[in-house]
Amino acid sequence: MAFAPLHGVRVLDFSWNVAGPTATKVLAALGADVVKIEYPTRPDPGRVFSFSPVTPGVYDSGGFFADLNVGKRSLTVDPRSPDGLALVEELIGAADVLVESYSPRVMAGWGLTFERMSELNAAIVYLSVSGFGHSGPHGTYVSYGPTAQAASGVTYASGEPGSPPAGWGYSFLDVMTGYQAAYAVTAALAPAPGDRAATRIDLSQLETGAAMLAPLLLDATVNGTDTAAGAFPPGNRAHWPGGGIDGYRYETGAPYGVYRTADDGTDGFCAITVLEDAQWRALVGAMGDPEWAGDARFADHASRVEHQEALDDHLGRWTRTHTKYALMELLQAAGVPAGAVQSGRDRLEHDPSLAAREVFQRRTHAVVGEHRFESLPVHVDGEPLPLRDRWPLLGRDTDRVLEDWLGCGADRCRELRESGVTWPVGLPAPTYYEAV
Amino acid sequence: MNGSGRPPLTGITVVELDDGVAQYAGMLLAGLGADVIKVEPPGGSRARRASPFRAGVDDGEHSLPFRHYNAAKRSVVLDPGADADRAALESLVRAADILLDGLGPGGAAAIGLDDATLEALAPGLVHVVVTPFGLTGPWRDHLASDVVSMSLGGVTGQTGYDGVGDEPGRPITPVGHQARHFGGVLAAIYAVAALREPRSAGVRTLDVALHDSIAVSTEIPVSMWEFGGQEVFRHTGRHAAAVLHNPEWQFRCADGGYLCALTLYLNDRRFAAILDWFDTTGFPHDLHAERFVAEADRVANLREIVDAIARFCALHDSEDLFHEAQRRALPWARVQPVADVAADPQLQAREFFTPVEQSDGSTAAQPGLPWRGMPTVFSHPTSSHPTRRVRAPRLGEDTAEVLATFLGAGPLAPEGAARDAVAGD
Repeated sequence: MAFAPLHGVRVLDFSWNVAGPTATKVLAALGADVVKIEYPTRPDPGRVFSFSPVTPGVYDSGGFFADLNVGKRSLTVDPRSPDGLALVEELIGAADVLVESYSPRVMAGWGLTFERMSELNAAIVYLSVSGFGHSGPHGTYVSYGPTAQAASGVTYASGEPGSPPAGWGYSFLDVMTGYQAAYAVTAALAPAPGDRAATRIDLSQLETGAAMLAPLLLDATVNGTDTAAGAFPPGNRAHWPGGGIDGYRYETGAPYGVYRTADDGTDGFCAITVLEDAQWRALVGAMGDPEWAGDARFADHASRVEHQEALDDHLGRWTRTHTKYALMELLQAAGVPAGAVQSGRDRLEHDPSLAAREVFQRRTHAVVGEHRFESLPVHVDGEPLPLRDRWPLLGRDTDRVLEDWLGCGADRCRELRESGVTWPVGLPAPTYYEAV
Repeated sequence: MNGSGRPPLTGITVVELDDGVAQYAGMLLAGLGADVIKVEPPGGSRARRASPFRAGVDDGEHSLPFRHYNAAKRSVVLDPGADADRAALESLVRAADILLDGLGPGGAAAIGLDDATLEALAPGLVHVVVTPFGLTGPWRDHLASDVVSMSLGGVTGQTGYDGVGDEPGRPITPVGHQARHFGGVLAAIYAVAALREPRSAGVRTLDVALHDSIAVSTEIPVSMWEFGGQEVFRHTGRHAAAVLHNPEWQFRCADGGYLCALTLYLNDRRFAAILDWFDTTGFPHDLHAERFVAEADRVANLREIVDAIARFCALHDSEDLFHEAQRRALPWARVQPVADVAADPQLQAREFFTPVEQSDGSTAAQPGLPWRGMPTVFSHPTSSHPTRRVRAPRLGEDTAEVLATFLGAGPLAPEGAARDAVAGD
């Protein structure tokens, strides 16, 4: 049986960029009817994001946007006009969930406070996703993913001692906040509709980042640990030797790190981690019992952790004589946790596990063309969850959604369009809609 | 804000079997009111031995990661090798809505909970299995660790330091065992969604791989390659990008701290705010020149803007810069050290931390779930949760009570560990 547990759930999606759309991508993949709300004069900036090529002037040409918004429909309406706002209020009445990621004052500025939404719909789930949350002394602060990452500690908790923070090489908190939001909404919908009051979820990236570091925060408050007083962060290690600061990987051992390999290029590295004595013996065997491995400094777990510099020196010389995938397979076969540092290309073109499990699925988008898109990764009763291959071509589904949700007839749909409520007067609709 | 004031998963029963990989999913479920019964072997889950510990005490009850990832759960000790305990485990599974399984491929079957048994015991069960690489595929039996999962998934390769010349920069894996968060939160979503299906549908097996979960959660490199045929390079404290060298957005300040001063999205309003700020403080700069007036020109001449911001940051403390930038509606923030995050006034005001009495009698500021509004067991600790307890459980603390509830009060067979735990309690 197809897995679409959120079938029948209607999501009115005002969210932009990455965090909110990540949440609604998840909901759509699980069967929800997600309708993206924009207006052609103010489309989601994600439509022209730089993580993939975009054809100027063509709303639906971005591969990154198509990947992030797969499974959704698009309705255009201008909530800044009185008639547009009235239509939005009707849609709220017919929705189960409203998602937005504007700055805190935007929706309230339209009069769409949680109280107003509750009047329109006594069981609405109102999710806002923001950098710092909608309350508190910094409730008006503005943020993109990297801003919240800096404020929440996740930037700081990445790097090597004595170097600047390395942070994350992308907006981790956009993605993770999107997932937290999808979880919160899915859970909010769990009680039977009759048992549900209107629910407000004021979710912040700041709190998501802090939650990702919860044990570090406990160490600070419970033990008074100040990571600034020792060797922190631990690079790729489980523990940096000396200094007395935990490595916060909730596992430990040595060697534990990322080592240069014989491969060319920026990702010519392999992770190798020894968590138990048996894995150390397996590693030594896989290396062909080199003499250095018999050094008394490497004889037990604690001593290996203490002498990681010397250990990594030896190991790093050996890893440079192998390619990353050969190393990984050699060591995994011997019982040592190891894995290649993989680029996007590696994951798409080489990774046999992602291929076998159909994590990237090939579909055809009317403008972007045939490509592999990121699925919602889960196997249900042994089968990968298939991507729903529909995309929110800007304004393409307006009339159909108005019919499905509000029972609007063709006459009213035409009137809304011709009066500029659902599409700007005089702006031609994209011709590629016809190809769909 | 929720009419009933009850966390929305109140009344849902979860049985959790795990040594670390799945416990975050269980914490999310427990945090919203589910009764999460953690079934542990007589020696306890291995997750109890994860450092750091309160006051350095490694005795199974002082692990700070364990205290966080097992908040509001109950602990039952059962020895699956003992017949009576195996029967008790089956009774728990029979009563469960969700079986959260972090035992690895074949792990549940090895303790008697193979698919056929589950189908017979609990035909409407949602069986969520969280593993490093999934229940299928060529890497099914591979071993993982945090850094291995993050390297294969892609985060490590796109994170780290600027290269020098043609030499690539060092890749870095952020701390906090983030690999488990990706799989854990997705597993919790799938599990709760699956509860909406009719129970007559049979056992649902939801196979969640950390590797798959990370691989689709890295934002940039997959799209760059799939749609643009480009690979990306690591950059210190900022996004990976298709160019080897590009302007930074993280700057060292007078206090030795750092400021994230995003120079992306430098529209007219934000640029004017920067100019006004510089001018107000008498800071010398050339940014009024014609070549910075149009946004496209600013992008082309970004290096000069970045150099001015870097010089400005070096004159001021990071905390002051953070709040003044935000007063001017610039999306900038201080790179806060961990100790300062723990004391952050915004987190405090939003009650992200809840004072929670721990099993050793001490009180800790327990981090909760990342929102305000919808009730959680952290924000509503006295709601109808079975234990009215927010802290993580002591090993076997709830064995007697749980077995009495789910098995009836009858005596257990003498050889069971459960009986020992009851007797010793």
